[in-house]
Amino acid sequence: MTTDTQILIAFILYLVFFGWIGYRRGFVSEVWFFAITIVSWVLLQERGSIVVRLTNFAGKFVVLVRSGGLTGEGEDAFQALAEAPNVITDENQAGFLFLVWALVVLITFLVTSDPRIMKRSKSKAWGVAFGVLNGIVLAAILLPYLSRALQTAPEIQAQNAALGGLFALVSRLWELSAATLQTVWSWVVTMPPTGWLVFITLLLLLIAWPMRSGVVGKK
Amino acid sequence: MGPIEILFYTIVVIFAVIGLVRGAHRELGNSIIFMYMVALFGLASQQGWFRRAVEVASIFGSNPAQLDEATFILIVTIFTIVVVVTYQGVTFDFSAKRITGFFGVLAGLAVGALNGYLIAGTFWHYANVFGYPFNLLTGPLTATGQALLPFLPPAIFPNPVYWAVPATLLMILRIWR
Repeated sequence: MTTDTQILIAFILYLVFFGWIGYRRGFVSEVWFFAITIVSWVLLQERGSIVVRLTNFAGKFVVLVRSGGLTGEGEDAFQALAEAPNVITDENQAGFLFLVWALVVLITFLVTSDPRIMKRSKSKAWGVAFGVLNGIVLAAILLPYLSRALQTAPEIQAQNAALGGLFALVSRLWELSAATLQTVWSWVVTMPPTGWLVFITLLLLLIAWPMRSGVVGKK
Repeated sequence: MGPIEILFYTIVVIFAVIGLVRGAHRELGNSIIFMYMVALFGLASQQGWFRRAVEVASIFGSNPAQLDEATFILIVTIFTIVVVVTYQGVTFDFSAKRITGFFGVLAGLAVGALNGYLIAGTFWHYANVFGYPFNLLTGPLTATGQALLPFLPPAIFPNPVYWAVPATLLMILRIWR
């Protein structure tokens, strides 16, 4: 079997998987997912600077609030505001925009998977078709990122054996996860009290929201 | 890691498992009560009610160490009674609607762990405030313990009354259908 045939079979397997997801989720969910994935990707690539500016503006607003800008002492607040660095810099802009896009895609997937929001369509064939299309779109967007994970692995290990390639990929992803967790933890430890309050409140509301319609019955 | 941190983590894990079994729809009701309790204890501390109790008890000739022990016992007893009452018998459930699936498991674990953190963290905080009475801690606190102290429920916010904010929002959500 030639390498081209193997690639073709691997790609077909990949698309069959996405087609099956499309079959399960239905046509309407897949169309919404397709549209939002594409539109958000294009918008963030073309107009991502708007999101970056908004985030930096929000960061400066937090600085303004923390330095007493809303309760007087305007000069100190404006001084702190002028000296506050941007949250999103040129170095981490690409990573930030990718993270925003990934969050949009994840939320879209979760929302469009909810049968209370998305009604099941009868057209299974169109669901499969759009599932396959979503597979192609995600492959086109994500493959460049995933291939970077394999670049640092020994070339022979990555190319010759499926198990070796998988091991290299998992190891690299594990290293990336550990490094990200460390960064998040160092950020969490220095989070201001208001940040904790907002985080705990939002987390509890997020958990409580789906249960709000459940009337407590008698025991 | 010292024994007090291990005890703290153990209680949090046990309550997380309890949360997983009972479900977030029940555990959130307990969370509301525990958050109000932490806020109330914080308010009592700020208003000097504990100190006043100490002054009243001083009339009977108790020494400061005994007064600290008595105050700590009072706080622990009140909180323990509240914990037992909220978990035993007819409970103050948030909702009758259980969240199912993976999100339900995560929610149960998270809310259960929060309850464990509120209970164990409050006990630890007041044990620290009153100088670890009854030899609860022999020897110095480890670096991990020192690092955790500012993150305990009564200390994580500038004012423990802040805990009333998420508790009140949850209460509104519970009533508003």
